[in-house]
Amino acid sequence: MTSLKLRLGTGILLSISVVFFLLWLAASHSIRVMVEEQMSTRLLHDSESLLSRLQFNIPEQVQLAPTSIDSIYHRPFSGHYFIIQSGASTLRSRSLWDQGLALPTTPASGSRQLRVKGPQQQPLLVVQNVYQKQGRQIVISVAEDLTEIDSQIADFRNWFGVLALVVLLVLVLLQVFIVHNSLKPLHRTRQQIADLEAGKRTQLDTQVPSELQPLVAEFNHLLHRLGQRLQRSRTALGDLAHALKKPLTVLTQLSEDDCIRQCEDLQQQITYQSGEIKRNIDHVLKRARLAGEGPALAQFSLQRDLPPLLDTLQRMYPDKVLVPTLALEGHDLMPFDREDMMELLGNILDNACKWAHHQVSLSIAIDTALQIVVQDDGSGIDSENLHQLSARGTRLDENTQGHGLGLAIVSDVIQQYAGSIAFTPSREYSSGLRVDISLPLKQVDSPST
Amino acid sequence: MRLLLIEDDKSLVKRLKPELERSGFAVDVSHNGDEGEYLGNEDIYDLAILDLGLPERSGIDVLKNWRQNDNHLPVIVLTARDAWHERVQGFQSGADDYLGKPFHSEELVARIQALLHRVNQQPGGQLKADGLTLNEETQSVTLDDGTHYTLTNTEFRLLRYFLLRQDKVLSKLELSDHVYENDADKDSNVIEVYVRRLREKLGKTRIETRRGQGYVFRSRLT
Repeated sequence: MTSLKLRLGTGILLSISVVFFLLWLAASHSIRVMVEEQMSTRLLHDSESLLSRLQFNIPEQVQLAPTSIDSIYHRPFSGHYFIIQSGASTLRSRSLWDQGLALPTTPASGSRQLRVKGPQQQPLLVVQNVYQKQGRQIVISVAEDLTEIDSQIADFRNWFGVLALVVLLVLVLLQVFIVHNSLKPLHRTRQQIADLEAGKRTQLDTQVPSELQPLVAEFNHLLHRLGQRLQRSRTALGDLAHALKKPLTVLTQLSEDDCIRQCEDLQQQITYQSGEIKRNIDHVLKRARLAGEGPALAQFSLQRDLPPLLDTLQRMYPDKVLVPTLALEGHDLMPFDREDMMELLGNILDNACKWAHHQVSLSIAIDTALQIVVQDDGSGIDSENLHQLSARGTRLDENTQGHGLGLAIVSDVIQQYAGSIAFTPSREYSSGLRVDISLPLKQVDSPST
Repeated sequence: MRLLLIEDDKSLVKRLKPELERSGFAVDVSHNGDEGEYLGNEDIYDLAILDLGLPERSGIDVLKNWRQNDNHLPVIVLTARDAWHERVQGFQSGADDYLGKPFHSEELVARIQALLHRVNQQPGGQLKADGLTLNEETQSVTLDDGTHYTLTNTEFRLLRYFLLRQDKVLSKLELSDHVYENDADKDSNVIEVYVRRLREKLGKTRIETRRGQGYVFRSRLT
């Protein structure tokens, strides 16, 4: 499908060109008709004044009163000629010199206009009239050179043509401008859709032309429904978690009851099983809750969301030092869901703080991806386990509460955003673990104008 | 140490309260947010354990209201909603610690002890004063000469309160407020009895009597 702009443009250009060509044709034609009309009227007058001066002194011979003829008819090849015929005698104007005019056979009566080639190849307009005077039939043909008029008309046609082209050009430019302007809302809507994708907005602007209104309204409606559904399912899952955890909490407390304590094997079983239930609930709920790509409910803002998270970790681990290094270069909003990112960063930093002796460093940089590096100065992990951790992203130590589950959630989030995670020994600290996470920033191509 | 437990799940409270009392805490319970918030402003509690999903007023609102009114009561939030964004919200609303449900009582007790040590500027694992160490797990005290005493629950409660408030004048009323729960029969003479018993174990000079004011637990023996 070609662009609307191109279709509008070619359509308007073609129609304007045809109109201008027709206009040019009509103008040149009518100017010629008008000029020739005027010329023939004058020639008719000349012809009538010639008639009035005709004398029949000698029978069979026509004569003109010598003084009364316009001098233009005396000058040779002046462009003004006449021929008077009556019976066998013919009277020619002096301007014709010796040459005749190639006139067709004389009509019986009336008047007609002709175009003939005259002396010196002059194009001539001839007005031929048949009169009756003193019982004789007289044919008077008066001619005038069209050379001058023809060239003037040609000039006019040229000038008119040039003018028409200029006006056409101006109109085309104007039309390009108008089309561009009228299609601006389309462009803006397109930009907004790109913003939606990037998560910079949640709805399309409804201030659009009426043609676009239903489309935008429907789009917004769908977006709203999608957001609502996501919110609802998250709320429902949260409620489910709450509902399931209540009895589970009591169950956990029950396992510490004195009666059960006496039966050590039973207590261990209950503790283990309720722990499994908790892990499963947490994992499934958190995984289902992860929003993933698309128009997010709320975007992760480095400036808004990161400081409270670091503050929280600092409060949870008051004896550990958290060293953040941020190279954001003005970036703030990330095209990732806020809750997903909180889960990712929270878990990975929580783990690091758990294992660190004194210090945890966090570095965030942005190139084509969001690059997160977390290092701790703990005892680290031996190379075999390191490999296993990288390969599966699963829990290593089930004894440290939350550790295993945290990493599973982290790898879910990373998978969701097509990112990668790597575990290596820390380079910043002599011992400890380094976690590299890379989340590609989906390239939002800026729509071409 | 007197705790305020705000939790609407009665079956959980039924299990948790004795567990906490066994660990040497006086526990008052509130089952809804309204009452809980009111009790938290009473200034007799050393720490609150706050469930977030409360009837009448949500735990987050209770917490925010306390902090707005400059009530710095240490709070451990107890919730099934332990996603990180909720945890951050909890801490931003003024929580001091956050524990996801379900949990083991030992975990909660450890968090309570750690938080009490922190807010009372007693860092490190165990409560100490010059010449003695209190073991909160076994509820026993060890003197530097190696003498080891197992304490009764009330003795333990009293000694822990002294250790967290060293060198401060503590009235009998304050001591009984922080050692017994609301419904206990408070008799200031009982405090005298327990102070005497502690003196028998730790030596006479450790707990000084200020006539008309109360007692001072001395961090240094000179």
